[in-house]
Amino acid sequence: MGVLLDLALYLVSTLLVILTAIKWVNRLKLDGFADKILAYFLFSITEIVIVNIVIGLLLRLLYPIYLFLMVLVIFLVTGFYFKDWSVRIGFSGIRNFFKDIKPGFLFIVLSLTTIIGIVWVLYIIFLFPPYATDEIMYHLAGPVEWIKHGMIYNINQDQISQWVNWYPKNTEMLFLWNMVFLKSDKIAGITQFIFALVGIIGIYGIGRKLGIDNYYSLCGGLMFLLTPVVFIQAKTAYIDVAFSVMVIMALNYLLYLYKEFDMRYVYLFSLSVAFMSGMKGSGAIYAVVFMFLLIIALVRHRNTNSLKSLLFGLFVYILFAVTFGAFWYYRTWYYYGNPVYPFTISFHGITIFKGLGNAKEMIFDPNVPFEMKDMGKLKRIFFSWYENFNFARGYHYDSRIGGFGPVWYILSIPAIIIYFIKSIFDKKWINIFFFFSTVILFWITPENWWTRYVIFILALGYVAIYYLIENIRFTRYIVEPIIPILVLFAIVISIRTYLPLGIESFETFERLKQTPVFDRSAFMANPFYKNDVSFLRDVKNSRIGHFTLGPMYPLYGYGLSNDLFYVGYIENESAFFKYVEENKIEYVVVINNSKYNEWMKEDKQFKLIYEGEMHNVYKVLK
Amino acid sequence: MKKKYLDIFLGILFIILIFFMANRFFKDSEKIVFFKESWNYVYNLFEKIMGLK
Repeated sequence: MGVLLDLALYLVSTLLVILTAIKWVNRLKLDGFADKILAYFLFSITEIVIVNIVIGLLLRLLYPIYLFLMVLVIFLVTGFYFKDWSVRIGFSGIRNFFKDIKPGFLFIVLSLTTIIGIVWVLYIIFLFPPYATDEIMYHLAGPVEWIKHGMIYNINQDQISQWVNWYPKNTEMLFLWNMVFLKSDKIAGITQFIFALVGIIGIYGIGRKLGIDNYYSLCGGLMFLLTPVVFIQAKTAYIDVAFSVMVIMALNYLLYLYKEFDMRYVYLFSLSVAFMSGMKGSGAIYAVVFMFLLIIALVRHRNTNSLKSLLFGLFVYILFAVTFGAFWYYRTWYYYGNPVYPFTISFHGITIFKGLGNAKEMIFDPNVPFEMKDMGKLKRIFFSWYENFNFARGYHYDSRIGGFGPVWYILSIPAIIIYFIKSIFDKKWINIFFFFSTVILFWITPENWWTRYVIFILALGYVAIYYLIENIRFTRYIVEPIIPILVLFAIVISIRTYLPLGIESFETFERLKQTPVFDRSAFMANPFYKNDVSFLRDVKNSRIGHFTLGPMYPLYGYGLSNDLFYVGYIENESAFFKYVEENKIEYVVVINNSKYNEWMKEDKQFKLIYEGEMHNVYKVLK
Repeated sequence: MKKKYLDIFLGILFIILIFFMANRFFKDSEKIVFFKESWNYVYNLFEKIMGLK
């Protein structure tokens, strides 16, 4: 009954958020189908982030009832403000949209594959607990701690989970929303998946703005979801798909502004960029590039619009960027004295913001696969895109080599080249603007060989393919049959490599299937710990001290019911015993050869209940 | 007229590039081997999920 009530509150609250977004967007009276859907989504996720910040961070009342009350109040205020209580979702627009699409062979194959893909992703979400590295290291660790403490704060756990304290957190706010009502991570995986679906609409919208018809624009969108790195990562609580979809959304609105100056679109563009820059540290760099792109778009309209209105457009953009967009950076600055902590920012040897090290040393260099170590920037990119399966062995949510699949290498790269040449000859300036916008964003991305960082570039590749098919018509007889073959090739491999090694076995499937849905927990499908945390099978609602080699997340156990206490900061024995006693810790999991293990081994207060390969587990005797 | 010939040229160039890239991509025979393995995996998985096996 409790779960049903929680679920009802979650559904009602989310519905209120969506209805509020619909009211605001309908007020804007947007024309395009894609622009409208994207705006519904943009307003919804913005409201969720703001509500979480107000309730969780400022008021420190992070409980479902308060979240519900706040979205209810926002909905009522919106209704009174507009004096309008009707909700027009525009089903007729959606109906007309699908009516316009003539079902061709390509569309049918892509749609069917997409449906299979969606069913597969939902099945995996339903069956599997979080398993992917970064999600259990920090993306979800933050939300769990916030829920347990009823507020958003800098969590005080192991070193690796500190990343959630440092990074901009807009996506984590969305994970939080999908977890806090159910007090479970069961549907956290759906967050990025929704973004992936929105990405379909984003690419469709860009295609339409470049003059591609409904049918081909939608085919381009469908291919987005079916791209291996998107398809595989869509279920995980990473942030790359979500981030790139926001870039695609911003590009979509930017293209409108390139064609026509309209303040409504300035607001939408500014909000989407602001949201994006609050998702990831590199978002701030993108926001600067987007500002220059906006200036180019605005300058184009200098003869048809007053300078004052154009400058106001730019002012709105900057206002959104320095308020909503920069919020998390201010917070990190406040706590760590550096807006992009832990990275040191220096200029020509002068340190501007001190951190733990520069990004190149801390993240980029250690992550370069050894095969790429001696390669230049361009060579690394093409090496990754070639997807040498001797190294890559398929696709993964974190693929370092490859991830875009054969469509990208075989069709998109040639298409982009020809699209660019044709656009120059045809003097299609909007095409060229889109080309340079995407390529510049791609080029300024650090480590752009890593496909998950630059998923948005797919928009250019897919739009280019369909632009050529539509404008050089005879190419369709060759290209259209190739597309489904390559898409199917990628999807078959993606399904095989969807899960990391060690948990993809039928045995794991069977074990999870036999476990009640809300009891399927990260420790049951974690390839790292093997049997070291098997004691969790018999433990619920416990207080666990930990100092482990792996992520702490699996220790939360069934239904995230355990409370965790990191002991790794404790230096001496007496302080350790005092900490255990004060916090009423019931179990302690530590690395075999750690000092904590030595201390507990010698003390009768602790009983060794499991001696594992890497970790020992002690029960604290009362 | 000029545009028409340019489009034909670009279209042919596009197709040549596609075949060139396809040839390069699948020169790595591991990809085909891996695909076959994956196909068998997916097929077995489907049978398992549907309770056919």
